[in-house]
Amino acid sequence: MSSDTESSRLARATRNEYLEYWFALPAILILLALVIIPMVWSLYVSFTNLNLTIASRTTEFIGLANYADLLTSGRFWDAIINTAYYVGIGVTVQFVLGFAVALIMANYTDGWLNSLLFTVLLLPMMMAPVVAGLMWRLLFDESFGPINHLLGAMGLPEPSWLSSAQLSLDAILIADIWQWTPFMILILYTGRLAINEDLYEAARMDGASKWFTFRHVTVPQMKGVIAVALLIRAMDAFKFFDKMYLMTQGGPGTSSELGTYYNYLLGFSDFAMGRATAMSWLLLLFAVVLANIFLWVLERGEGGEQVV
Amino acid sequence: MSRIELDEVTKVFDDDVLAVDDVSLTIEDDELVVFVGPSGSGKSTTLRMIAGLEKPTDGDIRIAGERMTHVEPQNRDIAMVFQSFALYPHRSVRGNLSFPLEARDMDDDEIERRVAEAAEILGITELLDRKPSQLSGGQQQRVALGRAIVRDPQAFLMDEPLANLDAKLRTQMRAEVVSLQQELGVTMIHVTHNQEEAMTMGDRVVVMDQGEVQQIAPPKEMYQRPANRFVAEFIGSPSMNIIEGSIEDETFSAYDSGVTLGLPSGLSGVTGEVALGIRPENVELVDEPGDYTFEAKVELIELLGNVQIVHFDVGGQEFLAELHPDVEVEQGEHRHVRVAPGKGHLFDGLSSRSERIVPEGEA
Repeated sequence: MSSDTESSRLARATRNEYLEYWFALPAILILLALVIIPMVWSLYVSFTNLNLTIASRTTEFIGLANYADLLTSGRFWDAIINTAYYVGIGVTVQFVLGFAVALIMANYTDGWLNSLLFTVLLLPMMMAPVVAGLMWRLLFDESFGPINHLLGAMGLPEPSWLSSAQLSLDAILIADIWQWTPFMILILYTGRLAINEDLYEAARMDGASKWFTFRHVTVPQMKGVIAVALLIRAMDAFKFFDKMYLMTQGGPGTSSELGTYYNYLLGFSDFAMGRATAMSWLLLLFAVVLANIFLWVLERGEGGEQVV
Repeated sequence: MSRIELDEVTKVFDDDVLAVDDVSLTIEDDELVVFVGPSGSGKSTTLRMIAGLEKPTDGDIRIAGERMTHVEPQNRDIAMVFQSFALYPHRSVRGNLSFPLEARDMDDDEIERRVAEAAEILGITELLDRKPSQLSGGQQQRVALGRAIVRDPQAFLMDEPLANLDAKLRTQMRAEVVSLQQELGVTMIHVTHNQEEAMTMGDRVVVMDQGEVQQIAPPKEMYQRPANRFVAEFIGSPSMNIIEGSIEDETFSAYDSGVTLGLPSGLSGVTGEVALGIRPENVELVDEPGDYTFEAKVELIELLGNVQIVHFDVGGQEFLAELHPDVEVEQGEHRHVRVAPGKGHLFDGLSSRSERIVPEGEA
């Protein structure tokens, strides 16, 4: 009897057309509380003059003033230009180096040599960025760093890497290229291995040179993988923070200050929350626009095939 | 003039596997030769050495009289069709056909003209703008063939190109490939593991096993006068029946089944251990025992419509007979099987390499 009522209750419950939403509700609530409400709130804050250090002041709605101030500020644009330089040069170098090494590993080395290369190449990636940052700060140190020691021993000039406005950003770039090129190698190597070897044999039979095969078989076949690798690295580089914070703190002056760091200073040093949230939204906008331009350019390539 | 010559070609892979063992053969201009053999027989490796995709460990390959042994495949002027078709997935049919021409820096008008011509020959003109993934197996096959013919190469190499097609399409493409070869008048080497494909397509058939050439002959000769026991069993479907035994005083006695048969006059001098091969279609059922007959029990009957395949049990050994469907046979009954005189094949030993004993009077 009781089992009968239970099963009929279950039957009624499963007939409930909103049942699936009840199951999703906990996840939706968590998302709302941790992501969506804070985002909407931050958007609101970006239109106010909220500053946590001025307790007495009543927070006022000031419209687009935060955005206007940022977009007309030299420091903001310097930070954006530094970020663009850092993302553009860094990801390009990582990609070119990574692609070259991946192709060499796929075509010219194999067996134990590849295993060894993998182990060695993956080490930088396994290191915590903070540790890598500290390590490179020591390596670049002007008085007792091994890099300048070696340069000096070879009779070359010993630049002041981290305290020169010309070199500080490049020093950070070198550290980041060192750490993340292996990621490119790994992704592009697996992407290359996923291509059917028959295509390469067919290309050889078709009389294609190595360069022709690279352009007309390898690159188009790897378009999807290349897009994903570039996108992941570009997004990651865009929000880069750790090594710069450890190596230069944006210095000397603001010469190596990136968008993320300036944003951090606005929020957690100046506590100018209105200004900081406005900058966060601008950075997000840049990232979204860049990513879409990037995908659009890739999709226009040979054959116009969907890549992602 | 695109004769292909292999001179004592041997291929040993890195892991010491002997894939091709001392193969010498000549493929004449405009000839269609089929390499056939079980998997691992070295037929594909031989083809790939002719293509240049593998380097011979030893020996020489000449194409049109020129020594090509160490020439890269891109410089051999030979086209190849792969089992997987190996179409470039990111390129349209047009892009696939033009690939070898673009690779040679041909001018656009000429590429356009050749692609149109090849598409016309293969009936794929309306597919030119499609991607390979949008084509059926048969259409992909045609594109693969088209990519080979646009170049007008010295020779075509076909590595099991029909193996991925369904049975009906395979029969159809088989005929199309043959007529294409005749139309274009090119040298073609076709590799297959399917003996029926070999028999129907080849001007000549090369049977390979364990890296060695077993026999090179036109299909009919291959069937009627197999050089050794391996070829005899490999060519023909259902396979030739083999009874192992020995000959004394012009009488063959089987080891296992107790079958004894007298020898026809042409083979009167033979003695010793032999394998006797009898094709299923070369037997009939008779009412009384007599010359060339033995008794056998009917185990199973397979009616195929135009023929029936009767499985006999001869002293524990299976013996197949291909009979007219009107012949009355009952499962379980004992019958007298008569071998057509002069249709048996004797091989001088029991191994698969045992050579066929040529009867007197046979050329």
